[in-house]
Amino acid sequence: MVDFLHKRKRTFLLGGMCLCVLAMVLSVFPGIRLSVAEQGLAWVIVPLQRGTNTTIIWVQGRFAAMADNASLIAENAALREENIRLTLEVEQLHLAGEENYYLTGILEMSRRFSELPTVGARVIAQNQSNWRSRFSIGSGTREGIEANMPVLAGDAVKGIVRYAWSNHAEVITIFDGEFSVSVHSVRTETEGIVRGDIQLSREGLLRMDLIAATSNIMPGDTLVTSAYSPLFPPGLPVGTVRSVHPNPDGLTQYALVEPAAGTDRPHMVLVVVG
Amino acid sequence: MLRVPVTGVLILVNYVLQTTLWPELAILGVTPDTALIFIVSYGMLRGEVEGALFGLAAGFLMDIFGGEYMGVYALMGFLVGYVSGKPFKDFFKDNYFLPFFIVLGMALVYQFALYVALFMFRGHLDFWFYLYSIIVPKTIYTSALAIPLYLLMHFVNRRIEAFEDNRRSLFEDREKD
Repeated sequence: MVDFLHKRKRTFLLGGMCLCVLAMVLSVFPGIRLSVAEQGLAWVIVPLQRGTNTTIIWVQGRFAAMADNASLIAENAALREENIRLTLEVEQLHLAGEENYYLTGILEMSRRFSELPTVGARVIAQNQSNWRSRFSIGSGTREGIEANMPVLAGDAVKGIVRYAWSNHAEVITIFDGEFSVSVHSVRTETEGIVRGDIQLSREGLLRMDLIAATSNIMPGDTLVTSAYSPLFPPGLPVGTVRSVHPNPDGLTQYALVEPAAGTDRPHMVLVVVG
Repeated sequence: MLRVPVTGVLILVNYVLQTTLWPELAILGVTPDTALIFIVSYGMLRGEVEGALFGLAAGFLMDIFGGEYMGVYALMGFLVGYVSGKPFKDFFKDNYFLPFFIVLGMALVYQFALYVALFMFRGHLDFWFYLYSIIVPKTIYTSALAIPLYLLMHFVNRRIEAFEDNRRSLFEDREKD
């Protein structure tokens, strides 16, 4: 076979390139996927990824357990300080009547989240490329997960399911350049679209676009998913505004947003299946 | 016959490690592209046709499980394997510095091609950001692993060739008998 190809190198080169280009053209059409090949490979790869991931977590756990006492004491002192600071903040929150109003709204939202039908899933692999921010979870259509379902980490939006197979699914994170979600500010009810951006992701930030120039959105405002979002249920926390900037057109503003789900790679996520 | 399953296992294991272990060992947020090292090594050790086939298989695997469009990584793997094998198949296989420089050059071109295919055509024109934050760090990290992984590939290739030679001589002896 290889000898045959060696004799027809030019045909082989052209044939290989044509095959790849054909695959690219076909993949532009939604619904055309190599389902059989994908599923067959998934049965081999997903258990291997799950096993390797479990081993890595176990090794990391062993290393963490070997951490010296000094770092634990320092961490304890830092946590005590943090505790005192948080206690003061809670007291201030109780005194602020106006803020209480918004907190009540957020509490109502969190009660709604608890009613959302969710499925827990373990993160088993990361995307092999540094050009994208994606990961794989070890649950798929067998658990009721389908494409375009919202993914939460720590009760906040972490991403969306891109593809789902029977035993695993691929998730686009909130930092990926392909991610976008309609949001609104809890305080001002300003609407906008939060997008992932590879450049901002290096600083752990997102970008909120299409904010009306007249909006008085400001740093510290909480952003949640909008009722206009076709994929996300309304009221899921997305992030907090860090800074607001005018666009050169003078008609709109944009904001830099700190994601509520944080920047760390999660080990577990919740997929909203309802 | 042993070559095909061994190569298949190598591609699978590399993919699994690239999606699980290497993200944990990321430096400045970038991970090494070990698939590229294996494609270049395979091309240099086995010639352009086998290098291209190796690159095609490894690329299709990446396309299937995380690619943007089916065929992008496959095409680049195919071309990298072909180009690596074309001029270097007759080089002295125990020269470990040539693979290092070939991987360095290929990684740079490969990452630049990915930037063009996935970002530049979509209006992300801040080339210097991508160069300094992804292309250069990833090229350096990948090149740093080029020699040890080339040695591994060289070892595997030698063992397979030895196995194939034994098998061939065994059959030839039987035919003489």
